[in-house]
Amino acid sequence: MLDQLIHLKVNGTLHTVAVPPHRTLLEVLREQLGYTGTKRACRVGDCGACTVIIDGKAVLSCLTLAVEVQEKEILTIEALGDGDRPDTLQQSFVDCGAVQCGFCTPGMVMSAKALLDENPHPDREEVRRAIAGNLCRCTGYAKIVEAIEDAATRLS
Amino acid sequence: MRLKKFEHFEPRTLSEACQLLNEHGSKASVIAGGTDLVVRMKYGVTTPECLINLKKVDGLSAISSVGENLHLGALATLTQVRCSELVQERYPILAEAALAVGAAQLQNMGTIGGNICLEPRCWYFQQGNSWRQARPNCFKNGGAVCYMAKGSKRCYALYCGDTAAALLALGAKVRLVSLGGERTVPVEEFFVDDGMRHTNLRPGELLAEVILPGPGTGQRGTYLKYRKRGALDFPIVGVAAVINKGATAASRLRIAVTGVGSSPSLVVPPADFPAGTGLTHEMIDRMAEIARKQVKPVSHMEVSPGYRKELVGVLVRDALEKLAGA
Amino acid sequence: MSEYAVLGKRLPRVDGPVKAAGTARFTDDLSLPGMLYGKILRSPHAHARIVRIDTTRAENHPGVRAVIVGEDFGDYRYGLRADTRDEYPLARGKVRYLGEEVAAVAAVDEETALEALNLIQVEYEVLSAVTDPEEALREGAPQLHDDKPGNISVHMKTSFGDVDDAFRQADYIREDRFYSQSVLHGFLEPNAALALWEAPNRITIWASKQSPYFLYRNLSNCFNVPLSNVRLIQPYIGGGFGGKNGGYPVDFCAVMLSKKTGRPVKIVLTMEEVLSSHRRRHPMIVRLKTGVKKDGTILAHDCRIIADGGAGTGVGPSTIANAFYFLNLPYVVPNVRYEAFRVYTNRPISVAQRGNGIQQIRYAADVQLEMIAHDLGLDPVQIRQKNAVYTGYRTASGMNIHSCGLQETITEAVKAAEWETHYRPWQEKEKEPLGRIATGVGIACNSFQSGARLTGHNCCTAVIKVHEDGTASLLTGSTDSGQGSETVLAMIVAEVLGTRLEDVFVPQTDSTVTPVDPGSFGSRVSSTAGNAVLIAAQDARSQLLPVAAELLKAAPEDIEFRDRKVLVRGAPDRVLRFRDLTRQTVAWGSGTSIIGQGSWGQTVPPMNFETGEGDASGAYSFGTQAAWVEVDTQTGKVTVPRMVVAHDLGFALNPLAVEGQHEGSIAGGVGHTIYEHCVEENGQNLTPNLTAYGLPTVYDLPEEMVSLSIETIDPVGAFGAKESGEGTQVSTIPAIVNAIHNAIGVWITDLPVTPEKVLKALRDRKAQDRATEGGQP
Ligand SMILES: Cc1cc2nc3c(=O)[nH]c(=O)nc-3n(C[C@H](O)[C@H](O)[C@H](O)COP(=O)(O)OP(=O)(O)OC[C@H]3O[C@@H](n4cnc5c(N)ncnc54)[C@H](O)[C@@H]3O)c2cc1C
Ligand code: FES
Ligand code: FES
Repeated sequence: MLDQLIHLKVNGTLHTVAVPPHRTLLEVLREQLGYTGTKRACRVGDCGACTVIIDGKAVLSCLTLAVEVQEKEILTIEALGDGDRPDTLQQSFVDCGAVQCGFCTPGMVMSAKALLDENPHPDREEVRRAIAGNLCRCTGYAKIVEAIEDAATRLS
Repeated sequence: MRLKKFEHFEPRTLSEACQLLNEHGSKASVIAGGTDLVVRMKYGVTTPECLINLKKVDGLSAISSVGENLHLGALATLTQVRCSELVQERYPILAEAALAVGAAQLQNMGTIGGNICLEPRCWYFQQGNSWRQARPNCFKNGGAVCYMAKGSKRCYALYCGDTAAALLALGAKVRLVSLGGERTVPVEEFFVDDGMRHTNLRPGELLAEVILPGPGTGQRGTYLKYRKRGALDFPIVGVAAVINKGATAASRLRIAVTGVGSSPSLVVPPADFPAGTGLTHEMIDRMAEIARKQVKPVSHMEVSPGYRKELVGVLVRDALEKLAGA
Repeated sequence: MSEYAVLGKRLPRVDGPVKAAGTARFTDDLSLPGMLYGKILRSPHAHARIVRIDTTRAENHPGVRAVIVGEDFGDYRYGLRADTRDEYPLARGKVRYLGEEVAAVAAVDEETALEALNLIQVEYEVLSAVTDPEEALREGAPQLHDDKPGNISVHMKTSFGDVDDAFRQADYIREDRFYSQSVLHGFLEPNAALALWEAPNRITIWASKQSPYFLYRNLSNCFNVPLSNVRLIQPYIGGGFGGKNGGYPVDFCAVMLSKKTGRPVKIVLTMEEVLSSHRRRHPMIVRLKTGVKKDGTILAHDCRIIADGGAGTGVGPSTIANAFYFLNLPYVVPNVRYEAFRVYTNRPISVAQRGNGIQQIRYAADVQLEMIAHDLGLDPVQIRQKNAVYTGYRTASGMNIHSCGLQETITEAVKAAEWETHYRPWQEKEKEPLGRIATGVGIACNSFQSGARLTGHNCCTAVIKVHEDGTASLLTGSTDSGQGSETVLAMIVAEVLGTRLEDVFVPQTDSTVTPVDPGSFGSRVSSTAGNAVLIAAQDARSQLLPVAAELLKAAPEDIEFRDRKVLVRGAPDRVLRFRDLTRQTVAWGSGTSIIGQGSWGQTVPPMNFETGEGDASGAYSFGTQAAWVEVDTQTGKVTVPRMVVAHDLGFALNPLAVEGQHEGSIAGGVGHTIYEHCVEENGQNLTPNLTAYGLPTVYDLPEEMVSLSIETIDPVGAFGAKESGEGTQVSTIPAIVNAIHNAIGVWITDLPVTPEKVLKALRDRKAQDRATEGGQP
């Protein structure tokens, strides 16, 4: 199975990379393109740490083949603000104490972003539903839910 | 936790897909959303030499109304299904079931076809390479034992798909296509109670779409799922119940369960089950009891057979009470 | 606490922005040119002799650069103390648990390394295994370690007061058996290490460690290199909870593979490896006998513990000692007897996990107290108030309480939980039919050491470099594994120097730069490292003071540092910018650098692991938790929609961080109580993934968590602060279990509280009720 030259549009930038079909998007993002903000924890869909947004939907990059997402809009955590200029959602996470060890955070933020992009005024249940596939051991989730609600308010 | 090498095909049409499937036979796996298949491939319990990816097949994710019926393309994602106005309006039970699957990301990726075809699960099957080396393989991994039911001659892996129960209760059909032609079968005939091979999909056959019969007037249904955690978990028991007001006695009430055996199954009301009137408490109790007795679970993934039966009874009662009260 | 300018404020954590941006680098995010990927081969047997390992085929596999086995490490063993060194980087001679590390490979990529693992041929002679600690104690049981007869890893037997006499005096005695299961740390970042060996003898390693200096010493010993040549650089850590304390095979193997290949080597475990074979909390069988007076006053505890230690000792002696210490707190126990066996079994090694041995014992003791209250018709709140310890109390074993707000925590928790409204004793509820959803409230108290007193190296050290522009770098070896200590320590610096949080930079631990530190465990950081930082900051300040006095023409004692300014008390016109002071100071006379230094360690005498006599720490936190549960009486499912925590933490250095600690504690505690469990069969974990294991999701934890801080200003901790990150988890389990009893009248003495167990207990109770009724004339 030879490497294929594929084009991936990540955060608006078109990358051309040679990958064999058995590479997951997570592996290509982290190992070949240097987008290490997307975390690798369970690698089998159980935790949500690897969540990215593809064509507006939150998906798991550990279960996505890189070759099947050409021609799609891929957004990773790096698409949002950086450490100097966090965007509103990230700022809410910081201000509300929704970040502890931070390992779940990029995936959590991406799930939240997918929600708010589609539904700027989610109710509590919609917020919980949006992050139910993202595990966090440190926070107990209450502050994460609060942060997403806070961001929704700030954004509107 | 790395995928083994495989060849990747992206057919553009169903017939091209069937062609490829025919060519590569048992060496090929069909991939839709991949949320079940890729996990098994990572564990190394499914090792296809090539993948036939359905994602680019034209029109396969369409949801369309055809006469009375609603057709769901196999590739429609669970999110698409649950957000479809047609589904919400006519078959809210299916939206409920789709929403009960895993979590948001899995619903965004997982397809209705993949959810139906979902491989039966078992703690002794879906494990990594080094885990499996610690004991002789079970049936499902090519060995000769079932650790769930030791001494048994069959595999008792559990079918845990959520939407299948709703589809069974709704009396849905699936359209299966192959190079040689196509056939449409009711969902109950599609499944086989065998952990090794839980559908009667023939070699070279693909699930192309799901056909939901018109709901008629006064159809009501609900899907209830019992699981350990509030999200991400497969059903320990899932119960779908549908009542058709205008229908004949035999099809008035359809109840289906999932998570209990190697296939989802219908709970068959006895021939003398009263029809024509509304659901009384006695009827509900009786039906719950019938359901409890009809299922034959084995001890599975830390849930005893007795408890699982019990849950079936509770969920059937809850579902019917909900419908009676609605 | 308005006297402080920085402390006591709800300040967002300093590393929040980089973590939220995804730019914070964790170990797996790092790579070096020429880096190889390592993978570890694990034992498929719970107990076996290694007859032969043939690595030839793996070595010849294209892309493989090195293969190592146990012999490569010579006779090196590691462990907490000289007499407990029973762990090997790679198994030698024997494997003692399924998943134990047997060999490791470095290859050009992960895929090749994985292929190579399959080519290593290991011949085993399978031995019979023992995976149950009670069986392991029986005569004739398979023996794990030749030098530890009877499979006894740790034995502790001690007694204070006259226990037998106390039981004779008691009006009521209860004896119960409790079991706490095998649970995992559950951190999301799998263990990882990236190592670089540079000939002849330098090691640089980036590893995910909450207590990096264990590994620094381990590596020096293992590879026989001086400590000065071990450079451990700490990247961000994705949670630890006790599971990233010491050196583990992943670290040793990365270094050895780098040494063999001359290239950097990275090993990242899979979650499956972490969950199936990494460390975990001690499962414990606790047999507890308690005698009380009619009014509920505790007279004595007699406790026997069997702790499942797994195949190695790890920090086991501290776990066993901790369980004893906190048999004595938070209630007055005048007489106490304790015997504990930590037993080797063919299971992965048990270590500390958030609470280290205390959850298990307090689960037993606080639930049993509730049983006693119920049996005697006493009020659960009152029985706790009656028995609560107080400031000035000294336990029978000699632990000294210098600050204690336990009574206040009870009062506040009860108030916040609206206890009066929601609580009705089970005796009263019993008469009513159970609805579908039964609700109940439960209460439990806790205590915890605020900075464990250690034997050996006990102190924390801080170095503060004040730069000429008025900013400061804080060098500390106390790592932040997510708990927020970096922020809190930086706040202390800003407070003392009168600057702002953003003026203080805390680089991550780097053993060649930061001072040696015992580690982030035993709730040490805020209190112990906090004091070291306070001293160091005062030291830096004292170096600035003479110059300030001179420049402002004031007496040093009149000078105040506040909000980036230097002021003279009573003379508002005499002001200097802090940055001007620092600039002037470095150029003063022939020039200087402002470097403050401070060390501080618990001053109480070290703990005595043999007798348990004396203090575990110089200070103890106290708290009360109230849980609200809902039990589905037909499915047995228990949910905890609401939890109240009131914690005497001395002083809340940063209330936002404190809330995070309380909520996180609840999360782990609810998981332990209801959801989490390693299901095992013959030493094999059937649940080595997060779904089967059941790490709680957002739907499974209390939607409402109330966190209240009771400030008692402890005389020992920095600014009066005590711990707040572990104690709260201690009472989560009993609060929930007590609430379940209040809801449905059953006692769950065997964790986790699975729905099936709840339903069975409910059935058994009803059957018993019927039998009693039927038996009455
Ligand atoms: C953490 C986690 C939690 C989950 N929880 C749930 C849950 O609660 N409930 C639940 O039902 N599922 C759950 N799943 C499983 C899975 O995500 C869903 O079942 C999903 O709908 C599967 O669809 P897919 O398109 O991703 O399937 P794929 O993985 O693409 O395919 C699944 C199987 O069906 C076959 N297949 C797919 N499409 C066709 C077709 N058109 N014709 C013939 N064969 C086909 C594939 O060859 C494969 O064998 C979970 C998965 C994970 C990782
Ligand atoms: S890493 Fe993808 S879901 Fe855990
Ligand atoms: S912040 Fe640590 S896992 Fe979420």
